[in-house]
Amino acid sequence: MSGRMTGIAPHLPGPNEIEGRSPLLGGVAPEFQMRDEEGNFVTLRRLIRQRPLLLYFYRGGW
Amino acid sequence: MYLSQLRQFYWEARGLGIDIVGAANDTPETNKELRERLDLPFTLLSDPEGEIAKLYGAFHKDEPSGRNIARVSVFLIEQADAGGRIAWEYVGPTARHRVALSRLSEEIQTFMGHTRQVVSVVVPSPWQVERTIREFQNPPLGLYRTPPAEELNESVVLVYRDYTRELAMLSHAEVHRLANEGWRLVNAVPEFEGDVAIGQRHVFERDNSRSVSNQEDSP
Repeated sequence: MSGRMTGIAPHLPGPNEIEGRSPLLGGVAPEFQMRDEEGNFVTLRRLIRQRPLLLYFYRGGW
Repeated sequence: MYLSQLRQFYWEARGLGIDIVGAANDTPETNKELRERLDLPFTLLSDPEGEIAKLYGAFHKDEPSGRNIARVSVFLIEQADAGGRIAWEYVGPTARHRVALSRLSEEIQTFMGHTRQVVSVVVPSPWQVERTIREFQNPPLGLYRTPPAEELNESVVLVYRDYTRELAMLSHAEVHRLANEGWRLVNAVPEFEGDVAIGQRHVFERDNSRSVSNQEDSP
């Protein structure tokens, strides 16, 4: 396959390419407490008790 | 990727042994409506002030509204008794920088110590891309409902159009990337939604034994 893709969001830059942000890679994930849809508090500790977790900060309701 | 793509990917992730949660600076009530509307099988968490996004270095002040919102980002976090560390992270400099599902799947499989790895990329047809954009404004019966009318202003529609086209281009870029990084294309088949062919699914495979043996947190 050939051809240059233009106009796309660029290839995946590393997280430390964001000005002023230090990578968190390798560090302990910061503990948090957030409400679920029913208003109940959910902690990171509980979420990762049994299995790894993918935490996704999303934008866009679709 | 965007939220509805995770509806299906969630099951692949669970099959690989990990869980998924979403988070945004919306209220639990908004999240509940969104989760029901998109029929998501995972929890949406509320970070209304962006405090948690700040903790993860994934926070910025939106202009011009001044709202605190998270950058689109993903963090793969170890199980507690394995250390609870961040094994992989991606933080998008802008909301247009989105990790492809195939890349995410690759990272998860590597993290979980899989040597034989399989990822697939659905490249939508141009017709399907335009149809998706049209249907966001006017979904046929049976498809997921659009956001409430008050949210569906012109700028949202334009943003959705741009994202949809960019994700289509990202799918092409992913096929290039996987091929260039030594993955073997094992299959390319039409992808159907009902009985409508919406694009092509490319299935790639690789044997990653050398890379996985360098993982510190393999079981």
